[in-house]
Amino acid sequence: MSLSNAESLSAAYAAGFWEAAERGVLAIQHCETCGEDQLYPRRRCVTCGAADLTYRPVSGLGSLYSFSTVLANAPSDFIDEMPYTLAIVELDEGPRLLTRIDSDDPAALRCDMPVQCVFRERDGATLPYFVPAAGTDGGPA
Amino acid sequence: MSRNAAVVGIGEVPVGKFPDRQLLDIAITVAEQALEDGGVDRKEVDTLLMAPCFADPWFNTDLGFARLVDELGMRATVRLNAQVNAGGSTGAALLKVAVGLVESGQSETVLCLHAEKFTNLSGQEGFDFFAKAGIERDFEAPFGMAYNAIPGLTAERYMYETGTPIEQLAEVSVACREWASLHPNAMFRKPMTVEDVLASKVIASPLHALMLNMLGDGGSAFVVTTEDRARSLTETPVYVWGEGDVVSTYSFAQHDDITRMNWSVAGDRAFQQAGVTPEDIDVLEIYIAYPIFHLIIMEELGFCARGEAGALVAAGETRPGGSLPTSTNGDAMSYGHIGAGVGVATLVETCRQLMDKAGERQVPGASIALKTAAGGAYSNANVAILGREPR
Ligand SMILES: [Zn+2]
Repeated sequence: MSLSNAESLSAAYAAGFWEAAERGVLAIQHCETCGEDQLYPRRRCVTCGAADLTYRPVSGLGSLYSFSTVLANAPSDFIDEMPYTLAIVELDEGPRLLTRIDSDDPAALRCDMPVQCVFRERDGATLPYFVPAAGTDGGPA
Repeated sequence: MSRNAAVVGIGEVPVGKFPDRQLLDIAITVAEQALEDGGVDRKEVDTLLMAPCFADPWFNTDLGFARLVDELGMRATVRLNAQVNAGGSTGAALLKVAVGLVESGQSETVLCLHAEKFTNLSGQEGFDFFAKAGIERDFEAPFGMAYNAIPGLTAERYMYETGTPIEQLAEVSVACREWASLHPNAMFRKPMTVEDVLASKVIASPLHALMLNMLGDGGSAFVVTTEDRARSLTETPVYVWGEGDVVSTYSFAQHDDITRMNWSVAGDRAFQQAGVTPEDIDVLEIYIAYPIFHLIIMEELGFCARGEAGALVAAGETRPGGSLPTSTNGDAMSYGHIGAGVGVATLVETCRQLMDKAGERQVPGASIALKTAAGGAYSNANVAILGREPR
């Protein structure tokens, strides 16, 4: 599947997310009506349905909630990248996202280990990937 | 004035790769089997409800345009021809809609059916389809999300939290295969061992190929009518005792707890409505397509404590002859994955057990059964409890 199917790349509601990503900043949405934070970006607050959502930057730090390495049967556009490791990261600020975890030592990945956001260009988009946090096994020195 | 509904007839074709079997042949076959099984004349059917067909968009479109009304000889006698699409939860949705229409007096006899032909897709087209179907398009697919990573991510976290070893996930595949070996319509019937499962290739860690499922062609059908009519038609009507359903999120990573989902909420609702407890369940018909979710469902529905389901399965309790016969059609790992219809087939299997028509895999004396369904990125948790007698 091509990224061109991700219509959020050109959609006004998600511009705050992708523009921040291009600056190397991870941003989440904040609902001005009910006060909840959310990721992924949506047109409405998933909690209360309000439309007055604003973007705010987060630290890019979190923990590895879970991970799975794809070794076969990948979607067409990703076959060349196998093996790659998908992950769910829980941000220190609360929201979770599906992402990639890149590590020099995949065997050292553990649930709940600290991770940090790094941005990678892929197919015309700047995507928030994660790596083990600095100072942990497999992370940047 | 409310009245009771009952399932009176079921139909099903063998699942597998049947390139020469046309979708209309599947649909007509399962429809006529279900009508004959229930002793229902086709002219009695006033409502025709159909699950979606994923692999053939034009056949799918035709369903909404009443093609089957012609093909089944039901012109003028059918008053409502409609599709019901809840992804993998479609079987649960069909049952709910059919029973609701009958109990409210809007329909007298409802025929529900599904037909799918995944051999229309190549293997890679199948992977690509399920990289979109049930996958968050904007914020998960761009990372290379693959459907098999959903159970992979779940299993990694579940094993971390509970200490369950991978061998016990393999045991689920083995138990399901043992049931499927007794099912003439299942796609994979050759018995296998835990060693076979663990020797198969890792596809999405920590899961091996034999912990996943294979797409196949198939279809099934069931007929719902009033309790009064059911009693005059058949000795073995099946009744819905209780249902519990939760719809949560489109996006897999947004679940609050992927190792629990919403199964305890759905289960509590169903048990409460049915007025029974897990101890009363004679047969547990899980449709969830991956072993990891079997363990989660068994625990969250209260059949055992958290972290104990793997040992229960390894002890053989879910196999033929065990104390908790589970997924007697083999679930999608062995029955074959026929898209939106696995849940329909699971309902059919549930009714078959309660009708005492399951042949070699009949659970002796089965009178109360619990079945599950789920769709998308496990957006839905559906639990239904059915019985041989009216509640
Ligand atoms: Zn809100």
